[in-house]
Amino acid sequence: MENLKDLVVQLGRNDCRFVLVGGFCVASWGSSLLTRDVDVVCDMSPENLCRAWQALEEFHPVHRMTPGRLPFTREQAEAGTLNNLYLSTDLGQLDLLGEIKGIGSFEECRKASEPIRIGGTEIRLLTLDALILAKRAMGRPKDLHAVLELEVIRERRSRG
Amino acid sequence: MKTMSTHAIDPDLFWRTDDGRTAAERAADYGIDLSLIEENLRLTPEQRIDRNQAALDLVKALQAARN
Repeated sequence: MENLKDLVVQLGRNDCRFVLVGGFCVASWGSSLLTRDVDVVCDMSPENLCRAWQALEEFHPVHRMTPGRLPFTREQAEAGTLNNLYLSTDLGQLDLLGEIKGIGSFEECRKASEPIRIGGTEIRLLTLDALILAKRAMGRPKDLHAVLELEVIRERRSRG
Repeated sequence: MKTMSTHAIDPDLFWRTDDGRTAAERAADYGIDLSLIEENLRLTPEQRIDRNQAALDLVKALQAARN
């Protein structure tokens, strides 16, 4: 049942406002690194989190970092107090983040993003330059590995 | 013969872009298989995502078979 593409498409079809970042975005650009989850920077307004909840409801979203893995509910989405959400769903793990290092909030990520079509739905992902900036800012060994691959991809693309 | 990189995680290896070397040379020096990237660049983003999923599914199947 786990399928990361379906997870992203589900958010897109429900008009959730988000930008793909992290390993899924790195893979979309052509890196050989395998990713097991989806990270997005998201408009964390109650309206948008309700769209996210609506998209995920049938896939049983739970807070995977909390003891007892409590469900992510519509009431929580409406409360307007969430900064980040670390969810586990039937389709896979999903992190909804209010901002990321190197780029900033959802609006800043949106400005540094471009559209692609996945599963017949338009999804926004960080531009290659912005993704490299974000990964450099994160600075963990796995991010630095991704930077090396992304810079190769940028070099190849600049050569046409 | 293909050898693994002996580099430790040295920040200079990642941050420097003024050493006259290409990104491909730096990545290869780290042990990254550039042919995998070349292959991915021939695909659409959706095809790359599908490949990631296929690889994940295979890993899970192997893990399940081991248990």
